[in-house]
Amino acid sequence: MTAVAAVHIALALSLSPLLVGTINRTKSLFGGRTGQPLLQSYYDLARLLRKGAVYSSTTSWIFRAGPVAGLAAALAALTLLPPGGGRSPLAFAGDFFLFAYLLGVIRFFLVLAALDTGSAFEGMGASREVMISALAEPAMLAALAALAHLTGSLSLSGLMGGAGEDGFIAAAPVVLLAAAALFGVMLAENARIPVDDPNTHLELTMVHEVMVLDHSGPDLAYILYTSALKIWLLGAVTVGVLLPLSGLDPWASLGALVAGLFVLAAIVGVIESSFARLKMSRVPVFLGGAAALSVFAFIIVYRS
Amino acid sequence: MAADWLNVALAVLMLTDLLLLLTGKLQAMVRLVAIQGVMICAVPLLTHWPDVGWALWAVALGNFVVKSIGFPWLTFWTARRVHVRGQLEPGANYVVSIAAGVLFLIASLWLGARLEPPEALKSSLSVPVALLTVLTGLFLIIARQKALTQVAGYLVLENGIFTFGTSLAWEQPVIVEMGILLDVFAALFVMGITVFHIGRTFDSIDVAEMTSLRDTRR
Repeated sequence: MTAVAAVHIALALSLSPLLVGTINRTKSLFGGRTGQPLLQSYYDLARLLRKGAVYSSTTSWIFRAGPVAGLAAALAALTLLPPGGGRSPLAFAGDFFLFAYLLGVIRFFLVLAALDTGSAFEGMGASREVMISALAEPAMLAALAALAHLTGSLSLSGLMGGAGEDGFIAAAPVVLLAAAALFGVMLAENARIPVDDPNTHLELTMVHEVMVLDHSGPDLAYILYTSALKIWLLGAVTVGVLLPLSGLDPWASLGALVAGLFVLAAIVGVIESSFARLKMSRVPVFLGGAAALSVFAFIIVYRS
Repeated sequence: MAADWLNVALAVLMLTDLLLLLTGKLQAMVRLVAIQGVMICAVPLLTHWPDVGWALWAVALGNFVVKSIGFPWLTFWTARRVHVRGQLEPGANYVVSIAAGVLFLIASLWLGARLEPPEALKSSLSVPVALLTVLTGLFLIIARQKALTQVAGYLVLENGIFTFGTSLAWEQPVIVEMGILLDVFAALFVMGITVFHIGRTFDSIDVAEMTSLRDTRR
């Protein structure tokens, strides 16, 4: 593993809760509030880790395994994520499929744990979460396939910023369309507005939040940390696709990636402040639109 | 370099086409058409860069004023006066619209590849994107229920024709473009006033309700 890759993983592990803080801070700024401290996510995690966990007697080992397995899958996905323009520690041809499915594994264990509680609301949340991700996955894979065709690389490390500095503007149509699709997927997968509202606490409208209602203490901390890492994972893919990182010096590209991620978090905050959440029946349209953008990108890259 | 930026402008144009098919809000639709207006004036400038005469500048700026400033202003003014709800009720649902968008892209790429331009084009995307914009405009006119959105669809259609014309023609057809621009300007004006009167007379600008010429709504 190169030093840059090691630093990138360390940064991802330490800074991803700060992304959540940035989103929340942007939202408070728009709402005219001071808002919670930027480091609130860290305080929450520290508080939860100190507490004990409560387990319902109806749950089995699946419920306890869920958060740990999810975190493990997120960490595994992190090792596939290239640090800016360089190569990731575990890069191999076709690793973007593994990346997509590791994200799937996170969701799978979260859903299993939610279903294991036997709660009606959690079952409903689980069903919605699965529906959303089933619609988001084709959009993501089609976008990555278009980029793979564009860059001639089958590895996530080649896809991100693979168009290079000079080819970047020429490849703009594909890059723009794919990045727009990936951004939509990122919003959906991270349960942000317009697909899901992270602030809602009415069981009937919750998707992601309702699934973690029965988790407590360290388990909840793992889940919160995993979702922060997920913002980093999908956000980094979006930023990496959009910016011509591979032409830069490795350290500079890592810096650009991290800076881009925080800009992206601020944009997510702006979107959450200025858009309403979509009706559940409109969510497939949103994700279908993202998929259509990917298909657009794919058709264009395939033809030229 | 100009060719590369031309690609960017065309990509944004394509993106706005798809978003126009997706959006469910009148405001969003008008803003997207305004963004298209900006791209529309960038395309001819970038296509003929660096020998851009005053005439081309005039056409581009005229387009910008009519489509990116005049149209949004007129629409918002009319919408405020006739109390339009921002939510659109599409005649064709959004899933059909998305599918139509993808089909339009395939069709325009196919058609763009078959048309033989008189000389090598600066960007292989100009003709397909122009055709896509034309088709999107036509679809919007058919598939959206409000008179105001039909005006937007008409403008999108005109944007496509403009892109097509300016990327193919070498002798910058200033007189023709100016004439078209004047037509568009007049048409926009007429449509704005018509929509305003329709809104006053029928209490709604939903075209589906205009089939019944009665005072009371069904």
